Amino acid sequence: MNAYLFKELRETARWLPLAWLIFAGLLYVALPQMSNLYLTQGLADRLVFQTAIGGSLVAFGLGLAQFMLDQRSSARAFLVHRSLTPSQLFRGKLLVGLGIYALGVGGPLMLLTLYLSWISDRFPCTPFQTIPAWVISIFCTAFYFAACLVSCSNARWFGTRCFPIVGSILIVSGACVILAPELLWIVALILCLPAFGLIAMIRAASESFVFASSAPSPTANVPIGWERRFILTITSIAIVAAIGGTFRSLLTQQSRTLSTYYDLKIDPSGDPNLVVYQNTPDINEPRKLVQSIRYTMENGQLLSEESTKPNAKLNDRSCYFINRPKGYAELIFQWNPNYLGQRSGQNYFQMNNGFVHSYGLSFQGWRLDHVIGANGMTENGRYPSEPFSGRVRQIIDYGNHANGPQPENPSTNAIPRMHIVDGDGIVEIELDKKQVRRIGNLPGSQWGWGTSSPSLFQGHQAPRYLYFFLDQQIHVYASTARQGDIESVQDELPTYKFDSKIDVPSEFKSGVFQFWFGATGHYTFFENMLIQVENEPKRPGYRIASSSPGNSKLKSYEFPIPKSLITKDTEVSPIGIGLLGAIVPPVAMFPYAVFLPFLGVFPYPYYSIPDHIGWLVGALVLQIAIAMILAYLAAQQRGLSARSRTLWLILSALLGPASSLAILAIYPECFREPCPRCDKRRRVENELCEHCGKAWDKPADEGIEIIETSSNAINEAVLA
Amino acid sequence: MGRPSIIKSEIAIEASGLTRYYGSKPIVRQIDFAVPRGSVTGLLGLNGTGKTTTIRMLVGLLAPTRGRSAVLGIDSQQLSPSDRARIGFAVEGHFLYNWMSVAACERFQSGTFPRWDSRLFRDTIDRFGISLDAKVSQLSRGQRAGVSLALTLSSLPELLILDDPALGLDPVNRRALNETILEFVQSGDRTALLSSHLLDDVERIADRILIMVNGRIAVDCPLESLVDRVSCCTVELDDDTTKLGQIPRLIHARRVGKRCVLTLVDFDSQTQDALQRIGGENLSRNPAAFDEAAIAYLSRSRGSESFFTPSQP
Amino acid sequence: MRIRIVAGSSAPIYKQIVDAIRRTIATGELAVGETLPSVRQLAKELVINPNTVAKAYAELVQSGLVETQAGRGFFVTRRRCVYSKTERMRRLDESIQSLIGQAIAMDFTPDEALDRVRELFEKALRNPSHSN
Repeated sequence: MNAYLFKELRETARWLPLAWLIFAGLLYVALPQMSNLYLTQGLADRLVFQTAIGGSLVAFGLGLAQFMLDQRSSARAFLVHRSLTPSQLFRGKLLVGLGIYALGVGGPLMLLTLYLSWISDRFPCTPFQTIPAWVISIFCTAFYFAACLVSCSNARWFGTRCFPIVGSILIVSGACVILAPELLWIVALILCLPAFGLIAMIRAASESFVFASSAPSPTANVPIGWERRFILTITSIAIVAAIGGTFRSLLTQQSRTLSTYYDLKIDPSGDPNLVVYQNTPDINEPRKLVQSIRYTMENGQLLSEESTKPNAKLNDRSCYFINRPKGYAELIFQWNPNYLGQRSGQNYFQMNNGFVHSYGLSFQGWRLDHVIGANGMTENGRYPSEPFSGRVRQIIDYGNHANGPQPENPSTNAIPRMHIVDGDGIVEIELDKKQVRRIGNLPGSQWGWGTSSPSLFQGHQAPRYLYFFLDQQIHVYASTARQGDIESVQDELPTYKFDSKIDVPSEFKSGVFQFWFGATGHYTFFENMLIQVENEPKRPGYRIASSSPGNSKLKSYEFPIPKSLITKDTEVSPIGIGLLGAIVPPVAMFPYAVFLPFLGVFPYPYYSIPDHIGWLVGALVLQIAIAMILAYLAAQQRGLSARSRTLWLILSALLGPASSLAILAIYPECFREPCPRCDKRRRVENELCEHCGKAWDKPADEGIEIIETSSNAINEAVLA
Repeated sequence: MGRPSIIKSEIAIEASGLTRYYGSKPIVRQIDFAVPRGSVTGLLGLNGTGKTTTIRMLVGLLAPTRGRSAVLGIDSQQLSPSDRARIGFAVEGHFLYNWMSVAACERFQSGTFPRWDSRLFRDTIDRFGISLDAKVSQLSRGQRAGVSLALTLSSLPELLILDDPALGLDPVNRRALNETILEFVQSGDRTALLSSHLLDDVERIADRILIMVNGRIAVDCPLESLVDRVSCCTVELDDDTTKLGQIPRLIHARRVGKRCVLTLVDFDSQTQDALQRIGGENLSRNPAAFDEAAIAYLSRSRGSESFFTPSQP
Repeated sequence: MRIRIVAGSSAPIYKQIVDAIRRTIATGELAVGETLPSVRQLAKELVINPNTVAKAYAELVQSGLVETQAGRGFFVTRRRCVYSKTERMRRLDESIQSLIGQAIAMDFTPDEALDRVRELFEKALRNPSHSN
């Protein structure tokens, strides 16, 4: 065995430099570059992406190098005829191949991890940011096994031979769920799926190597394990879904969505109003008010003027993450420090200790330029000796010179102004003059604002309203900038005047107070807690929610948006619906279109039975019918037994036409000849005819045969 | 196997109904044969008629479509590593890893087989004039064959299966090959099966002959039986070749000018009468030489008429 | 004693060996009581299958020319009657026909040819080792 391992090592190790070149090159690209920064999310994400590509390429290349060459018929004959079982041969290749892979991919990754930990005291990065990449690199080995399956398969090249590659793509893509680190334990759970796929691939590769005959079918008794069936079925579904999805997206024409958005406005009497705006193509009037719904507070309940029934409900919903271990938020931040943006060659990061670091990119990489806290600025990398009194809660904006007058010297003077909120109000920092001034003494412990987008304010329009939660009341401050006057809000943060107050029910204790709306989930950070509120695309609404530290419940008021508004938002064509029914595998369609409505839960964007449901159902039925017919034909062609055929027919009703592709991929071709007795076509690899049970006739002698099988004893006596 | 004259343990290789299709075409069609222990058997057949396919099936490198075969009493598809250690198999084309040196080849082979005779390896290498340090990529065809043979023999197998071992060899290496094979088979209770196109060499070293024609075994007998039972006749014949169909056990007919050279099996009075009936004057009959007999069988190929090849224009 | 065989000729190899040994016995090159090379040895020298040599030896034993004893191998027996009468005549006729054919082709007269035959025959009887 050692001699064999040495042979494999010697043959495979010569690819190591190439692997290093590819992989290390890709990793280098992942490191922060000046111009691309605003496009990427964070180092961890970029590393995952590059590792997924590089690791897959390296793994696939190694697999081909090891398995393809030894699948040539003479090479395989030479290799297999040894005092080693094919399983041992496979395991040996595995050991060497994965070892070289570990060196080729793990080596550069390890170097990068060490480098990151070396510079982590100076730059906003930690070695933990490579953890997702390490995890992905394990899953990239799926491509190694795909290469084995591709090499050892008996299928034709232009047929189903390359399907396992699709399987590997699915596995690696599924493993990219590691990019959502906030839900660590759910991520670990979800990773079980690609892990299962990877194990299935390993076993399928082992089987295909061991039983690879060096010629195509037909062969009697070639076992096909469940792993190969599973992988090929899943890849067939993926391939058909991809083709169908592309087809559908090319064909469907959805009418232009008139983008509608909602806002909460406090009217002069202090009551919240849900206002519905719609974008218009008119420059002069970019949006128009479509509807305004007023809510009043009565008896602790918010009622809309549209109905007397309370349609705002107090909603108890558990928050996911209160019970996490301490330091979790820091951990997340360590994976991705909160990148704020770039201005004038400086890149701003909000650190979880409350400070803002400003980095410039020099020849050697990132260089800390200055640190900003509420008390002002420090120079070059030293943290202030004591943190300022209030943490930086949020950055309103950090420069809005985009359309304003340009500074004289871009490299030195165009340092933006920054507006941050701390515990005492709003602070403006002019970075070029190194001045800090407090604009608003608004001592609320939390605040939010109403604007069209709750994400970090990017700088063209100041918020029209600022909301402060103070003493059980929402204080509303309105901007003094003139409505519609864009220029006046561009140069500076407009001053805010007190506008109104809302009394908030007493369940709202101190805690997070957050406004948002629409169909986006939202994160907010407060102290050592991370609150994430669940996405609710089914129920877009405007919600005020709060929780308290240590409190596991999240309470919220909902202002649901009337259905009539929603359903007009997007129009769907009957063809689109029909194609949906024709493409999606029925097993995915059933819960989507059949069961949920019965439970009274309608999927977004349909809050009721969708329009053109007839098209959907009709297309679905047609799809099932076609799928079953195709599966039957494929099963006939591949000569499946009646039992297998029935199983596949049932499966085809659930999986759609992908099942016939799976049948063609899984089972080898089937050849038939006429039976001498019953004249029907019978499979050549069976001894007995499946129709009449007759064995094969011997081909007729031609009369010139000389057959004398006798023992060799005749000459033994005379041999000296 | 249905052959009562054979005692099971005396058979080194046997096949029963062995069939192999490539796609929808059968290449090997339900062949049965048995190779007794201790013999040297030559397997003859035209290129592409299934020799290598059969050999691959015997060694378990290719699964048959139907039927079964056994080597050393063990089913070919169930060979365990210890069974494979008893079988020496030389791949056609003398496959070796190009990057290895001859010494590395020895290390690889000896490391993957339980028994190894280092001296035999070196002696064989010397006989072919190869040095241990030479790289495989620099060896000539004949030297590669020598290394391949040395590797196969040095694991001291009981059964030797060689697929076209003399392919491309010069006469000196051919003699070395024959010597080595003969020596090896004689040195113990060993059996050899080799496929070859070199009829002279086969005549020298083989005890038994297997000839494959059109995917079937046409000849499976001791070498002298083949020679004894096949004879050649020359007859005067006009252009009407259909008359040849009346001749029983006619293997092949070859036109030479106005005459026809007929190769027949088991010439008897019936054959004599048939020949005279078709106007076979000037009958001259000789026992066939080995190569004449073999070529006559090999000339029966699919695509032409079964027993007649027309003369060259 | 030098035996040469030609593979691919019309005579089977074992027959060639039998004939060669018969010739050596007939000319006296191989004397009575002399041992033949062992099967293995001859096979090795000629690079042929020992079974072929064994078959040749078996035929020689059967025809009474050669005997085998344990420990001694194969050796030539006393009986010098190698061939039957008809067989002897047939073989002689074969050679004579060949000679006549050649002589006619070369335009020799019968007397010329016969004289030459007598000359060489007597010479061969005087020096048996020079005959092949």
